Amino acid sequence: MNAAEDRLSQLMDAATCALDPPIEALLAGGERLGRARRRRRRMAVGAGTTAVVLFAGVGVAAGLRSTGPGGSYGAAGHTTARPSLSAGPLPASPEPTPSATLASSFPTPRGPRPGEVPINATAAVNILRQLVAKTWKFGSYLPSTPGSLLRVDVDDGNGIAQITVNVAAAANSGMDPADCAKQGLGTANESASPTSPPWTGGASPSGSAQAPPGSVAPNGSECFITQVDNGDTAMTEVLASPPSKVVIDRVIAYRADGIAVEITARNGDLKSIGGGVTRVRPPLDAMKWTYIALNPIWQLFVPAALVR
Amino acid sequence: MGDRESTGPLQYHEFASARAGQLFRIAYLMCGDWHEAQDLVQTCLAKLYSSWHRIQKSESVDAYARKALLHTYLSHRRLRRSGEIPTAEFAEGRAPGDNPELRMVLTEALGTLPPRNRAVMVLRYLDDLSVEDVAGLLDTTPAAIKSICNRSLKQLRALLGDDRELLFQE
Repeated sequence: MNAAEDRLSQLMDAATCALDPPIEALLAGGERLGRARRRRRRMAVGAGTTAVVLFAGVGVAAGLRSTGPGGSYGAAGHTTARPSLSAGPLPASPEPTPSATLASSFPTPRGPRPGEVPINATAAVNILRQLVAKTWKFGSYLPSTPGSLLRVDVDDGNGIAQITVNVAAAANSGMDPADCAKQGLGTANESASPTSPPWTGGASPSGSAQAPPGSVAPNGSECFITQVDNGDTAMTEVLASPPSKVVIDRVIAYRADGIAVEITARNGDLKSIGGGVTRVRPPLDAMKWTYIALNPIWQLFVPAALVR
Repeated sequence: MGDRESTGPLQYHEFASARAGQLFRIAYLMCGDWHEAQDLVQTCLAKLYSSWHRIQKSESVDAYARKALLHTYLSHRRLRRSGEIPTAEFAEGRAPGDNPELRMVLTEALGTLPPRNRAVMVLRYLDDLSVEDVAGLLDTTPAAIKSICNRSLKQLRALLGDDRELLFQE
């Protein structure tokens, strides 16, 4: 390997060494699916064998009948057609999919109400406008792609920042789990437990919100979990990289209504995606982004007026 | 037979417990998604479990596991290909020092590679397989793998920027 290859190898190691997948759940799920596969295979083999035996038995019977007194080829031919039905495809045995195994605890989000349409990038921008100060300026935004509903530049008066938003059904959102340990940032020390949903009293986040103490990495990155009494959970990360000066506030909220919302705010704009920053840190703070992500206004279906 | 029945599951569990973590890491870098990586590993473990009596006799259960994971990943990709829209950019800045940012940057950059190339890069550089071993897993020639590695390295270098001190020191 040359130096670049060595470096890539080190980077991959460093990026994944702290991953802490749920091994027990994986083993249990793998074994359950494996048993189902084995059972299905045995049933298929058994059905095939049965069909062969039946076919042979009927063939023998037909032969006997055709050679016996009063036998007829027509009757035998008719009879031999019957077992082939049982050799057809068997009804599929119920086999849990891995996704279902791991994600079955999330409720199903509500369907569209009259006058509602699926959320898109325009609607996401309009919702975001409602949740931040009116003085914010919104720049051009990128259309939705899988895994990213919206990417938009915003300016709160202190420089441009890039915000990305994704909204999906929690059961198959594809987002990281709300678990600081799995993000390589250790276990959060404390969870904030607001007694009432944090958006109570207005759509805009409270100005006095403070991030609860969480696990802090040596470079200043931190992670904490917010749990709301209504069952909503959010993982909030502040990802800091001193060498590049990039700071990212990232929130993944799993709401009790079955909606998952991921918001990242970065201190750079769409043009500086490959690197470079436009301000010291993203606008607002991590806790306010958490409140914004937890706001129930984010839905899979939104009023049609929002997409215009 | 009874003996094998009693020792088989135990050996499977030993193997699966020891290797699930690494299989997950490979799967995660291949697909870039926590939940999909879990799906891939579970499906791979299910394939191992259902055929354990046959494959435990083979020389390399590890190779079988990697191959099962690789094929599961590639077939997942094939099924999802029509829904995937490649984008020219990746979301977050470079941050090689710390794992979460590095993970984001790496998975985004790897995500721009075609699935087969992504798999080659992960097997070669995360799992430290030789060019010949990767070629064997993908039923292709070592020369083809070398070519994929060279092209993908170039692409990753272009994507990850020109901060040579932090990424791709030469």
